[in-house]
Amino acid sequence: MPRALNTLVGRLALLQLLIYAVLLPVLFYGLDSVARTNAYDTFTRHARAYTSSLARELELADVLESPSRTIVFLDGAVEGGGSAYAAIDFNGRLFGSSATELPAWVQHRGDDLEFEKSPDSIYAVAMPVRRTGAAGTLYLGFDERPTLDQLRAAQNQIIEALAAYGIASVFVAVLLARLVSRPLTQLQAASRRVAGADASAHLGTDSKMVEIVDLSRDLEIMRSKLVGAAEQLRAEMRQRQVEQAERTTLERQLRHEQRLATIGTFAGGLAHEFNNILVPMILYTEESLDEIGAEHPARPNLDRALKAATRASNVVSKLLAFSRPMAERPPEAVDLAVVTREALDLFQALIPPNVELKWDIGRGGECVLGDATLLNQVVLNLCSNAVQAMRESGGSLTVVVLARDRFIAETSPGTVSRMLELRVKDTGHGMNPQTQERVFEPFFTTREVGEGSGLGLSIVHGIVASMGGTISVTSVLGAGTEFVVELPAVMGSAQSQ
Amino acid sequence: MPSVLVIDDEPDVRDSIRQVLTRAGFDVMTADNGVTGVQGFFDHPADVVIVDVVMPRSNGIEVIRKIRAGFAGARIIAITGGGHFGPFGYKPGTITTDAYLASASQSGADAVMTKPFHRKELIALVRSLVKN
Repeated sequence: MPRALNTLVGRLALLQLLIYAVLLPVLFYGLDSVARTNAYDTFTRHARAYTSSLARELELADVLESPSRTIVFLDGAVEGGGSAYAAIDFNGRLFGSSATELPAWVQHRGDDLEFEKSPDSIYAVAMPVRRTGAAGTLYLGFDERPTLDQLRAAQNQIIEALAAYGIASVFVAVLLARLVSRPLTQLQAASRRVAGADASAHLGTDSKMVEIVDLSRDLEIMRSKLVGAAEQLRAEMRQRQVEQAERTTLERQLRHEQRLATIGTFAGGLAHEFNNILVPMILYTEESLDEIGAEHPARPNLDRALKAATRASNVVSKLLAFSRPMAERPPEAVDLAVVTREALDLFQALIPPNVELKWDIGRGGECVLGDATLLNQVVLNLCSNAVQAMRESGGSLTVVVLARDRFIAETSPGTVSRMLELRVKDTGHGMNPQTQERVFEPFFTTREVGEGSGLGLSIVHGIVASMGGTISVTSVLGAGTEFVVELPAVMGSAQSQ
Repeated sequence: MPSVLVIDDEPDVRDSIRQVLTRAGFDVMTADNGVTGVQGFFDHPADVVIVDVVMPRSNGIEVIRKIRAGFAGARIIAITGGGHFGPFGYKPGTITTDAYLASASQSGADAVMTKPFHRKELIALVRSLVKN
């Protein structure tokens, strides 16, 4: 079924058409039958009454005494009575009107002809005429055609009236349907907008129909509830995404710290073992050196062995620097800017010509709690790594020291921590994410064997952590690396104004 | 001849210290754990005790306390290979080289030394304690 017929308007129009398809023939034939019966009755009654009155007149008057008067009478009957012809059969003589020949078939009939059955559409009536001593029959013929024309005209009027009524009622049905369907269409358009992007589209119509008004009000209530629920869902999803991101970050930090912790413990155990092994190596070597003479050929080799053992001892103590807290000396207030400037003064001499050193370390005046020597080591280590990354390509090394307030909203609102930052940035080859992840692990190095111990950044990490600070790295492969050391300022946290 | 008792679970450490100190003129006895070390000391008290702080199955700190309790005049040197054996994270309570040595001093050690040390340092330290 086409879509147009499935609409309310289509259905109502179709229904109306179906009703009239059944009703119209019934109405038409009913009305036609009534009109026909009435017209027939009137016509035949008139014909019989007229013929009967002429027959009475003939019985009473002397018309039949003379044939010429009979003819005049019959002519008068045709002209004055609206009949088509008139004839009389009296005492075996037939007199016809001058207007019409009497049809042959009338002569053989003594009775009325049926209406509408004669071939020339003539309705014939025969009436007996009795006079003293004689009898006869009066024949009058009436033309049916004007009556039949009137009937046909009436029939046409009925058809026209019914057709007009049918068209009007279909039109009314369509109008009614549209009256109902228009607000529904408005609701539909609004609900489509709601289903699309525009959830704020109002679900209403300008209809005054109670049912439609109720429906649109209920739909509007449903929409506002749905919108509220959707809004809440979206907010919850956003919240969850934020929480998930925070959790992921925390988990990554925790994993990182745990791995460093595991490695730290391992490094500590390793250092302990090595120190125990180094004791006999050093003592036996020194013993041997003490025993042999100054010119003994084994002396140079023993000297070398002792030197190597001493170097091993230094490596182990570096490993321990990562492994243990830096609580060897009581911490003191150290001006980060001053320490950094001193370290850079030293370092400047070591910078290759293809690397440009830039710094912005301020005037200083703000301190962190720690060890100046260790901080110096941090600066030198980060700078030498940066230069290492730019050794071939060249570039610029930027060192920045700055202070800023960190707001601690989550634990104690309104509290700020004063933090000092040391930023060391290079434009070198950068690191991939895997390298960034492992960069603080001891013995992790990307350099060629013999170029570095792989302990530098793990020591830096240990020093920074021992001062209650953090170190983070951001790097873009091919673009450069930045290390950010964050240390709590000595004044600690202060209430914000 | 001044006597020295060396208590260390590492045979190479024990033997090398013994050789150095014997050649330096000390009478050296050794023990490979805390229990036999304390027992040996009470059987033949030595002038100087060199004890490793970290040993399996026996605690060097306990050894120091027991000897100090039995012989107030004993001379004790605590040695350790260092390292870090507690949970990582720079938390208070983490056991470190410094913490071990500090604990040894508090328990009554007269001197502390971190491994590895040089022959001359060892001899000088033992001699200084014997003199006192």
